Amino acid sequence: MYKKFRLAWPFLLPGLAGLLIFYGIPFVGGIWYSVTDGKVQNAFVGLENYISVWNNTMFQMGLKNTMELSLICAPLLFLLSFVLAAGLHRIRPAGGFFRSSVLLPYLMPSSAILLIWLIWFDFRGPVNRLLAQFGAERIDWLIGPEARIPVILLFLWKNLGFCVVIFMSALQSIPESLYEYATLEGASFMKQTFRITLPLAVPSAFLVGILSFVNAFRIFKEVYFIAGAYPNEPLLYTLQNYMSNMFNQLSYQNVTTAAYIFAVIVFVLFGVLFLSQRSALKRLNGGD
Amino acid sequence: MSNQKGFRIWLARIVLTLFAVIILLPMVQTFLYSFSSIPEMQGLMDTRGKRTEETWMDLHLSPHKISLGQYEQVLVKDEEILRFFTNSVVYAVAILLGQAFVVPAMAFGLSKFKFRGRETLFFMIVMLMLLPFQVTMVPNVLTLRFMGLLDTAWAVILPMLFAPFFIFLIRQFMISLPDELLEASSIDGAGPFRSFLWIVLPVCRPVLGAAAALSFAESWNLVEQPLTYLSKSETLMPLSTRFNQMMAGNQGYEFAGAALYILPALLIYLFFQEDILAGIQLTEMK
Amino acid sequence: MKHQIGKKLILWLAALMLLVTSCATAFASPGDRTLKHVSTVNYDAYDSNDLVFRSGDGFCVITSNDTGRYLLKYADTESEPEKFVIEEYNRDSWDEEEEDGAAAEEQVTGETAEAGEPDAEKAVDGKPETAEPAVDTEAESEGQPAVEGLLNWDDIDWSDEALNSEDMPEGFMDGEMYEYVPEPYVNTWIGWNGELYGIGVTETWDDEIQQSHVEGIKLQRIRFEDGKVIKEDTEYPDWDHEILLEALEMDGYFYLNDYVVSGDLLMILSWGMNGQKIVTVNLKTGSVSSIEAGENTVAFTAGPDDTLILASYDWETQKNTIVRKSLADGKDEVIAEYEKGAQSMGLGYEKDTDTLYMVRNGELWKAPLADAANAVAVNDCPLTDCSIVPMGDGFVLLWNRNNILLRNTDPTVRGTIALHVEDNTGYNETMAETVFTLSEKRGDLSVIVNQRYDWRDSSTVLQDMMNKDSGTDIYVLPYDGANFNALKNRGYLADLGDNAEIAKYVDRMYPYIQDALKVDGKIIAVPIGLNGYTFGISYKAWKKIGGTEEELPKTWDQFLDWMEKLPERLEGTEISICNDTYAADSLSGMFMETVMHQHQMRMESKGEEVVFNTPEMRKLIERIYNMDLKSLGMKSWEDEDNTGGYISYDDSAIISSYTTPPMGEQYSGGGYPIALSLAEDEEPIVPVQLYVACVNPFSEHAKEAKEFLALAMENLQLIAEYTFFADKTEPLRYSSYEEDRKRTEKYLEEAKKYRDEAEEGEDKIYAEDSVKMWEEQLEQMEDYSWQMNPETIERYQKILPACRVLDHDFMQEIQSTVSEQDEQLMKEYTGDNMDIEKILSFYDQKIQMIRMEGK
Repeated sequence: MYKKFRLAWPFLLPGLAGLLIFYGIPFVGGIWYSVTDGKVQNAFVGLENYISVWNNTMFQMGLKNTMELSLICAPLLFLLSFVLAAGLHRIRPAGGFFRSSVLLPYLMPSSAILLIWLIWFDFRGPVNRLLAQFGAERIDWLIGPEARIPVILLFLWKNLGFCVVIFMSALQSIPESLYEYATLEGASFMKQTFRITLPLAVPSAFLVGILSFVNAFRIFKEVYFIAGAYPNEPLLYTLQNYMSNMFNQLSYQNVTTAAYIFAVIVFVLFGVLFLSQRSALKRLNGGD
Repeated sequence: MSNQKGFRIWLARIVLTLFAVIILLPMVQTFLYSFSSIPEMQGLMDTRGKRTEETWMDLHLSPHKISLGQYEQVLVKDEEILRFFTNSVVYAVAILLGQAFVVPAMAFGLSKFKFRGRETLFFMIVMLMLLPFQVTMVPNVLTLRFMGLLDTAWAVILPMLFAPFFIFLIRQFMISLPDELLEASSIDGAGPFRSFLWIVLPVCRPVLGAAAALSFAESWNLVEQPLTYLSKSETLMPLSTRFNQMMAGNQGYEFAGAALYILPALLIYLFFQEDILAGIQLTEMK
Repeated sequence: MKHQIGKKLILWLAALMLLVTSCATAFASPGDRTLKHVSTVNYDAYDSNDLVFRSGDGFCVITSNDTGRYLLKYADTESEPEKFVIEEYNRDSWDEEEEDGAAAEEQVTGETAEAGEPDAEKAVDGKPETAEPAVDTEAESEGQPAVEGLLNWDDIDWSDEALNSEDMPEGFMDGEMYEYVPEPYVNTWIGWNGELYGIGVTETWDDEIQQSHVEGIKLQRIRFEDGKVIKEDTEYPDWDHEILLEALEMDGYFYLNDYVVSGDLLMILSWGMNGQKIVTVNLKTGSVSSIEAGENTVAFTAGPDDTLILASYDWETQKNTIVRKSLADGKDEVIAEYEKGAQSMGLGYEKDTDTLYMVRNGELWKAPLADAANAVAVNDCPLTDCSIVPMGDGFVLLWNRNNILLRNTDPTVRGTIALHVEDNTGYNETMAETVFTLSEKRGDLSVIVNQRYDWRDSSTVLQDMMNKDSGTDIYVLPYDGANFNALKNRGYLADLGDNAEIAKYVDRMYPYIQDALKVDGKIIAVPIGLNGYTFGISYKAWKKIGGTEEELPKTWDQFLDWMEKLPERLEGTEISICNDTYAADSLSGMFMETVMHQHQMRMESKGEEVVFNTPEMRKLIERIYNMDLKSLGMKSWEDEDNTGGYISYDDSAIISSYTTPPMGEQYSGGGYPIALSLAEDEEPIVPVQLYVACVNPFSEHAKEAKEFLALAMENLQLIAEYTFFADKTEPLRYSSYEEDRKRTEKYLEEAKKYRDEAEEGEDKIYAEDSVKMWEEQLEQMEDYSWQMNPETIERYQKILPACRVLDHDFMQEIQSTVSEQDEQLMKEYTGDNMDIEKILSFYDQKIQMIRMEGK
């Protein structure tokens, strides 16, 4: 660890300059956009935009749908990947085939995969056919309220592997002796999971949590493609729709204002996650 | 006990293999379909979207007859797709190269130097990582225009060079490296620069590989940035922005396009697979 | 011989109103000249360039107007031309000439032009002719308005029977039968090695099949002496005319529209049954060959070494592709591609310097042929579609039917202030015309007009606004489109009111137009043209079958009742319900669109939310949808006997399926929009769709841009002018009207005198007929010699209270934002069994979302 700050400069400078130019300044500049009326003369209007965007029905709808989708997607991803990782870790199968394929979707361009999705979830497509085999009714996967399900599945398909890998690595760093000791003490599988696995996986869990959310917000590109600018199914109207539509109407102040509101919400969520990680670590460490 | 364990392992294997199949199926199907003839694909795509209870789509996993018609269309007849493909490659490579100079150094600066405000700075970078693109989109256009870069390839490349996510990823890896590594080299008289180049970077190989692969995946999928920053120069667009249009008209060669689009990502994955696994596994939040 | 003039009524519309501005030297680049310019927005005179070719240091122009066809010989690009007469249609000398036996050399074919055909032009050259480009009066009364035919080159029927038609009656009426003399005539000229040649065509009339027949084609050399043309035979062999005509898919006539000479080859771009092709004639040997041309060729020129250079435009990708095509094997080599291409282009190639010239997107471009992809813009050019003749000294001639411009190709001397206009109207000539007007006033300004037809409203104006891009100074956009609405709502429109002239023009406009143009006291745009089509009805035709104004429907329901009863009323009359070929397929869609626009506008004007899925709308749309237009007597493309056809602009049908609201057609007859209301107790609404021009608020030349737009208000198309300006209420005759009328009256007098003097018997009968004919023609002239006829104005004044500018097209917005899934849904709803409720609520749902998003 170097202690002299001046030594750090050469390493930090290029990156900092770039961050400042392409992220920092625009971030501050964006605030200016969000407090002006967005017309040619750009008059200062204070928080008017925030108020009007916040009160806009469609913004609320988009925000609600975005949050809902994220709150379904992220925890689902989190839980599924943890369960999978925990199971995998305890069983330690060879699973080479699985291992090499699990991460692949994360790198795949989802717009290309969407093609297959549109076929699978077609009203007369294979998924409904499978359902019909079990005697269920056909479902309008791409148009009705169920349209969320293919979106969620696409999200899971893409991100599951990545999160499983992170969890597994965390679990692998737990000494095997801990489990042996616990088994000797007669601790059940569940108990071992909650008392040993989980606490030690907290930092990774935090990472997975953040990634789940960040990626959940990003999936809306695909939602937008499936459902269009004004989705037939209102549940699929997300913030992405609101922002893109506003953008197409030259309403930059609304785009930026909505983006900032959203950013604040994300920050708050991040803060909550961060604090809960801290306290979880503390509690778990204290509990030991 | 051992019987039960054996059963569990077998069960797990079956479940995992099933998972793997589901994970791979979309890609496999894309590749298989890319070898069917254009009329066959058009026929298949045409049967979509009909809401009649009586019938099912006439779906096959593989083409009736192997044909390279779609590839001929995509690679030979339609020069445009190939050009967009080349653009995509140029962007991905340029971004990757640029990041190689900026990102690891920044991560090193943030992990192996102690200075006041380091945590704050890092925290801010994490915040930037979480920002939706739209926050900085409009102001960024003005910045780029001011620099005369709007509607040039640089408008897409430059902002991506400083993507906070990769700084975050590599920094997290570096911070877990034992300080002894550097101390040893310091004793040998190496300055931070030499230590960075010869000691830290080699050790970071897995995470660098992971970052490279993820960065490639991200640049390969750029949509909003080119659409916003290159609105006036369509010849500079990457393939990712054209993909939806390509699919829209049911031209019958969507799947060859998709396969072409997937292929580089797939190769990158196969090449960096071990690194990605290792890199991600060793990164955590501290 | 006085009767000969019988068919020559043409003159009232073909009078000489030369808007030739020779020598407007004040252009941006030094040396630029406008050698000839005929206004394209409202011309009412016939004046056309047939050919421009290089000859020595200068060039020659073959040009025709209604006094004759001439050759103008320019010794160099700076001097004034020497004028030679190729053939003369001298109407003032008829009286003298009619006796002089010149008619003896005319071809007598015994055939009149087919009814309904456009006018024909006399094309016998070589001697002063007694004929002139004449509109067959029968054609006028039955088909197109005569002007259209005259003014549009492509519409001219070049078939022999039409060409010779006007000769027939004179011969017969004078009782003189002439011996048929098959003598070659020339209607196409080529410049070859700097000399002028005519393509001499010999035709005979085949009585058995009642059709003319091309006997032979050969080159004739043309010389000029004492201001007259001398035609000589050449040593070159006859062409393979049968193969040539077969290749050109011409039967019984020969005429070339699009051709170029390179080396010893004449290359012809031709449209055949199976797409475009290039037909080549070796001028030395007369041999003919042909190869396929690509699709959508928009321009072509000769390249080096027996190759052709072709430019095409792809409507899907909006790209121009320039290919070099080998004449030997037909192989293509792509030499350049341009995004956001031009929908029409000019091409030229200069061998000595291996330079390719292009006119596209409002500019003249230049590049070495091998490096065409990196062409540079060297000058501006207001012509969209033109031929390019390189003059070898760094200058090029750009010419088309109405213009000849000389342009400098040195980019370093270009004017510094350039206005850029993005014109999305596609066909409207106002912007291009204004460039010519401006160039006379402001020599320091050059204007680049990039005109395209953009049905997707896909202008990049919004990105420009975000980028604060000043690259385009003026945008011409549909007023009801999403783009203009965004500009309007966000105030991204420069105030045009600070230009006093614009303010004055706008003040003269009808209040409903002014309302659309003024926002918070600012003038945000000026109207350039009208946009959109609906159906119309012919009041004249209605009157002819005894209908009265009172009987006409007032509401949509009444209208549909009325229409259903029309076949009964029409029975036994010569008037049909609708002549348009595809009326049965298109009319109900038009009705629905109009109804929905009206509904949207009435809800908005009441301040209510627009909801389409109401019992009233469902009922109305269902009724329109269920109407059986075919059984009412309308034609469909599915009909086997439907041979394709024409849209009627005359009084032979009650309903015309296309008319531009609010004025209908400016020429005679045709349909006028009818003001209908949706319910009995409501006001009728006529939705008016506009194209408007606005100035970029970031423009660095806003002052000049406004000056340009003020001038544009002087160059509006007549129909637009009468639609916009409240003080434009006087009907307008063709400029030649007075003169023609006087002449016709004089002939009538003479005919009367002749009749009074004639002895009983055959002579007397002929003389009576002649008087009658002149009287009829005088009457017709009164009816048809309108540029803007009184009925059009009167109708417009009547529906004026109902006119409202459509400021937002929801339907279009929905169409442009639907996803693939939505499209499939819409297909399902609007398919064979239209589900009206579902499709309307589909629209409502989208509209509600759009509305709730707010601005």
